[in-house]
Amino acid sequence: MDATLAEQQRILASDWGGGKSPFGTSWSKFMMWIFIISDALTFAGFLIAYGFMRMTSPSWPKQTEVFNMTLITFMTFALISSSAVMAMAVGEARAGNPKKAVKFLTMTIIGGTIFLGCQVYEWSHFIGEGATLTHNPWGVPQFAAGFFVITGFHGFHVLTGVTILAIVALRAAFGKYSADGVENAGLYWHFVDVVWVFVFAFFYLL
Amino acid sequence: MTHDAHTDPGHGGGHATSYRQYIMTWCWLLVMTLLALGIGYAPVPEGIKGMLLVAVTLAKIFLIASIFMHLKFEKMNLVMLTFSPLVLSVILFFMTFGDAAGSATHIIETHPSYDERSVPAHEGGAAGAEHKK
Repeated sequence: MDATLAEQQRILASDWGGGKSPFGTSWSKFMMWIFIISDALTFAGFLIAYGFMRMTSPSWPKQTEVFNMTLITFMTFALISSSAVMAMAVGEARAGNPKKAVKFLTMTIIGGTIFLGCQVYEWSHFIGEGATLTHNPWGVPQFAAGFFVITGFHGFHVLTGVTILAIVALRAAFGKYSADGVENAGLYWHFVDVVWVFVFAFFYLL
Repeated sequence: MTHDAHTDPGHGGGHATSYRQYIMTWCWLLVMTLLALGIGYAPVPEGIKGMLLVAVTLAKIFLIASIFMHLKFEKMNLVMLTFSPLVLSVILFFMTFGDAAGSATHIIETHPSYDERSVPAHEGGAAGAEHKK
């Protein structure tokens, strides 16, 4: 009996025994990471399905000719820049400077909005040229389907991110901010940036 | 236990240092974006282009995750957890690669560029020409 009790106490005292944080984060931040990991798997599924469709298709359009790469590069610039100022917003929130945090959050929201505006323009142009989920004027329909599903799902994430950041910024402006809240929103925003890095490389350039 | 209570090396010790680090990271990310763009246009075989783009993309992800997402300052347990999607993606890729590679023809079709299509056909551009297909 004593041996069992000692074993139980040994387990409880370990990092994984409960009552401690094996990952060294607050629960909300850890849950955000769990969400990011599961969402990353969703996008991984999309991109691998895209690769499969592309490799099994008899032909594939040359993306650098079909897309306006100047616009796509500018969209990438906007998202990377917004990610950099988001990191600064988290730093200011942690340092207890809500005014500066709100300023950087606003800049992040502007970057995200510019990205969304460019995506709306790109989609409308693409649709105007006759592309739909089932039809592609440049060849195999899977190309247009992949475009709408992957960039649409990512764009929905950007829209969600802008909404979350707007709520966090408003709360911070009224003094209701928490550094954890800003950081969790920041993690989500950086994740959206990470996904775009993959989409930019594998969908638009490869 | 709350995160607020502990000192985070990523945020403490003067903002000038943090800002400089974030701006440097931003600059590197832009440089690598232009590099990826260059690889996209380079006249190299698709396989080599794919490997180069994977390398640049992983370098960008590493920078964003370690500096912007502060994984550099997190416990190794959490860092290892974040690798799981990458590992599972590689497994999924090789599960499907055999079938896909066997039936691939790799014909890359060329079309009028975006800029050419933007000019109406009656003005000498290719707009509308692609709809004939």
